[in-house]
Amino acid sequence: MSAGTPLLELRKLSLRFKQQQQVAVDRVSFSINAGSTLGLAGASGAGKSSIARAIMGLIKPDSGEIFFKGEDILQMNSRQLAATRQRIQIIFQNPTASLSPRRSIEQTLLEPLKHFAIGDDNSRQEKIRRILTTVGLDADVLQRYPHQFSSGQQQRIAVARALVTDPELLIADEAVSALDVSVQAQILQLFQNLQKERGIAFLFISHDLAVIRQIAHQVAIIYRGQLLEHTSADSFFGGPEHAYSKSLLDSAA
Amino acid sequence: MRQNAWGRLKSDRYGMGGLIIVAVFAAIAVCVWSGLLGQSWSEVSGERWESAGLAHWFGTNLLGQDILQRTLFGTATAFEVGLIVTIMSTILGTTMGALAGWYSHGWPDEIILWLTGVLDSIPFYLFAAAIAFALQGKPWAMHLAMIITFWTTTARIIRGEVMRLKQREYVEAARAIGLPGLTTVFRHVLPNTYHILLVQATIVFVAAINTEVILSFLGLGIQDGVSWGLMLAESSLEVLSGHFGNFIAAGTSLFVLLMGFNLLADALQDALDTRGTSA
Amino acid sequence: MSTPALEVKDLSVWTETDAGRSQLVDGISLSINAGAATGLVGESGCGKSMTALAIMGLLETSGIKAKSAGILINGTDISALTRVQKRKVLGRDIAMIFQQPGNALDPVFTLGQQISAVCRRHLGGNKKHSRQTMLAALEAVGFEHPEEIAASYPFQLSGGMQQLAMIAMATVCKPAVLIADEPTTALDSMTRGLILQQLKRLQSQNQTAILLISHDLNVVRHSCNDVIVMYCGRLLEKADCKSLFSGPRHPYSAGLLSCIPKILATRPPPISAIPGQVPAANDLPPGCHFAPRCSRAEPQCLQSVPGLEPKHGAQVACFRPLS
Repeated sequence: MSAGTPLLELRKLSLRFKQQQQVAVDRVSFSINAGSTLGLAGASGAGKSSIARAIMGLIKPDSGEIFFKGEDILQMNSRQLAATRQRIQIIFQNPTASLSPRRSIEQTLLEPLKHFAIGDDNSRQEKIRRILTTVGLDADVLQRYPHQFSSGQQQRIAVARALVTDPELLIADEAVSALDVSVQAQILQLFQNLQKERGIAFLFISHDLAVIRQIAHQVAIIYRGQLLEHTSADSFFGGPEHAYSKSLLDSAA
Repeated sequence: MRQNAWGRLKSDRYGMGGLIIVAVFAAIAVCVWSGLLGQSWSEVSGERWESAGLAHWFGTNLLGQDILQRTLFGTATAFEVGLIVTIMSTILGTTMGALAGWYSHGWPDEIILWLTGVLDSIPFYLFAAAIAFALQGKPWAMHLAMIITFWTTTARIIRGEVMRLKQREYVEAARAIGLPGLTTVFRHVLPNTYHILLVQATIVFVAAINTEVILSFLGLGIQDGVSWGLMLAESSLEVLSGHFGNFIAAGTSLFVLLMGFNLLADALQDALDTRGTSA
Repeated sequence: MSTPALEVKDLSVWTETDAGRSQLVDGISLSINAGAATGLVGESGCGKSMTALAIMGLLETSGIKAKSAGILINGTDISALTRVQKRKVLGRDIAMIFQQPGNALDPVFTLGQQISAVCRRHLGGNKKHSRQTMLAALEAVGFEHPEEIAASYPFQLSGGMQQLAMIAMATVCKPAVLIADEPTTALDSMTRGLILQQLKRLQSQNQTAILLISHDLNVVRHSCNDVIVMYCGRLLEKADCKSLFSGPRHPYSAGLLSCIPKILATRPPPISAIPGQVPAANDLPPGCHFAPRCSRAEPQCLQSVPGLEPKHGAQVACFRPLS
C-alpha cells in the first residue's frame, strides 16, 4: 500500500434487502485514511449500520467495491479474508448484547486469538492482560461473566475484544449511544487515546452530531442510503452545504 | 448465576419437595438396576390376592406375585423409559431445531418444519401401535415410537430461540471474525437455551412415563418386565372382584412421582427464568 | 405562598437481598408548584425512576420497599391512603407517562377504548360523554383526525404518536401533577420537540405541575423551570435551570455538564470525563457518595454526609461547592 492510498475505500457500494423495495445502501463511496476518524451521521434506518455490516462481511452487497489497503475485500479468497478480518473490528451499540452471556470474559477475549491462531497459550494470556490495562480494566474481570458488569465496563470489554487482533480500523456502530453521558465521555476518551497511541482509524457511526463533533476529522452524511455530503469536520460544522445536513444540525443544536 | 438459580430453587418449598420425591424414586430405580430391590417381581411367592401383610407388604396379585416387588420394579421401568426417551428426543429435537433456526427460511428449515408438521398430525397411539406392530414386539418399539414423536416440540422451541438469539450482537461478533455457522450455533447460541431445555426435558420425562402407562395398558408397551401401566391393566379386572392392591400401589406411585416432577418442573422454570432475561 | 401541587417529604426506597441492603433512594424531598416543570436528572441507577414509581405508589407489589414522611398533592397526603382510596387518586390527580409508550399501551385494545376507559373510571358519565371527552383529549395533544386515532391499535402508530396518545390518556382527567419518565428518550429529535411542546401546553393551559425525569440534560434545559440533580439515591443540587446550566455549584453537576458534547463551529476542547464509575447500590461509600470521584474532596467528605443547603444561589449538598 503506497503512502497516498486510503486505509479503507468504498466505491459505489449498493445493497438491497430481500424483502424490501427500497435500496438500503445506494452507490455509496467514501474513504478513510489511516489514523483518522470518519464520522458517519444520519437518521436511524438511513443505511449506516448496513454499510458497517457490509464492510465486516456480515451482509453481502449487491454491487460495488470495498478496498482495504488497496485490495478489494469482496474479491478475496478465504485466506486473505481471514487476514483482513483481523485488521477490521467492530463495536456494537448494545454492550450487554454484544458479549456472549454464557462465556467468561477470558473465553470471549481469547476466542479471536484462538480462531486466527495468533500466538500460543502464554503469549495470548499476556496479550489479553495488556489489553485489559489499555482499556482501563483489571485482570480480575477475566473469570467473571458479562452480566456482572455495568454497561460502561461491558463496552470496555467489547473494545478489548476488538483490540486483541491488533486492528487498524475500528467500526464503532452507535457504540456510545446507549451509555450515560459521563460513561460516554470516558469511552470517547478511550477511542482518542487508542488513535493517538496505536494509530487506529475509526469509522464512527452515530445519529448524534454533537458526539461526532468531538471525535471526527471527517464527516459524511447518509440520507436514505445515499451519501449526501463528505467534508472535513471543521467545514461541516462551520456551515454545511446540503439543506438536509443543515436541518440535521439545526435540530441537534 | 448458577448459584443464584440453585439458591432460588432451594427456597421454593414445593420445588424442593418435588426434588426430594423424584430423588427418592430415582434412588429406588438405581437400586433395582443394581439388583438390590424388586428382583422377585415375577416370582409366584404367595397365594393369589393375599391382602397386605407381613410377608407381602402390598399383598399379591392374581397370580400370587408380590405387588410391592412389582411396584419397585415398575419404578425402574418408568425411569428407564423416561431417561431413554428424554435424552434421545432432546438430542434429536435440539439438533433439528438448531439447524432449522440457524438456516431459517432456507431449505433445511422448510424440510424440518414440514417433518414436524407431518409427525404432529399423526394420532399418537395409532402411530405407536403401527410401530409396535411393524417391529413385532421388539422391546424398544415403544421407546422408538415416543422418540420419533416427542422430538418435534423440543425442535420447535429451540428453533424459535435460535432465531431470536442469532440476531444478537454477540452472534454477529462471532460471525464478524469469520466463525463458521455451525460452530457459532453450538458455541454461542445453544448454551443460552439450556434453561429452556432443562424445563422441557422435565416435561418430556413426565410425558414419557404417562405414555408408557397408557401403552402398557393397551398392551403395546413393555414386553419383558413389569410396569405400573401393566399393573393398572391387571387391576382393571381385579377391581371388579374387590381387589384393589394393584390399583392402589401402581396408581399412587404414579400419582406421587408425576406430582413430584410437576412441582420440580415448575420450580425449575421459576428458578432459571431470570437467566433468560440476560440472554 | 400557595400550596405546592406536589410535595414529597423524606422519601426513601430500598431493597433487601442476599447481597445486602441496596439503598436506591435516600431521604429525598422536593416540591413543585402548579404550572411549573421540574427536571429530575441523573445517570442510570441514580434512583430517579424509583422516585417516580414510589410517588405513584407503584412499588407495592414489587418487593421494593418505600417509605416517606408524606407525598402531598395539593396538600392531601396520598401515601397514607388505603389502596381503594389511592385507586381514585391515580390517573385523576396524578398521572405518569413512560419511556416506551409501546409497552405502556395495551396492544389488544384501540386507543379510543383505552382512553375512554380512563374517562369512565374517573369522570363517570355515559358512553357518549366519555367518547367526546376522549376525542377532545386526542385533539388537544395535536391529532388532526382524532376519530382515526381512536379507532387505531397501538402498533399502527409510530413511537411519537403513541407517546402523544399516552399523554392524552394521562391528562384526560386534567391531573394536578404529571410525572414524565424519560418520555422522549426513545424518540428522534423532531418528535421530541412535539412531546415537549405538549408538556408546555399542559403547564400553561391546565396548570399541571410536571416532574420530568431524564438522563438527557439538554431535554431538561429547554423545557423545565427548575432542575434537581440526583446521584446514588441522593439529591446533590437543586437550582433553577438558567443558574444550573450557566454556573453549577456541585462538582458532580459541573462534571456532568462538561461531559456533554456540544456542536461547535470551532475545534472542540479535549474531552473531559469524570474519573471512576458509579458505585453499586449495595456498596455505597460512606459520607458523600460522590467523594471518591471528586477532585475537590477533603477528608470530611469521605466521613460525613453533606445536607442540601442554600449556598451561592442554589441548594447544594457539598462541603466545598463551586462558586
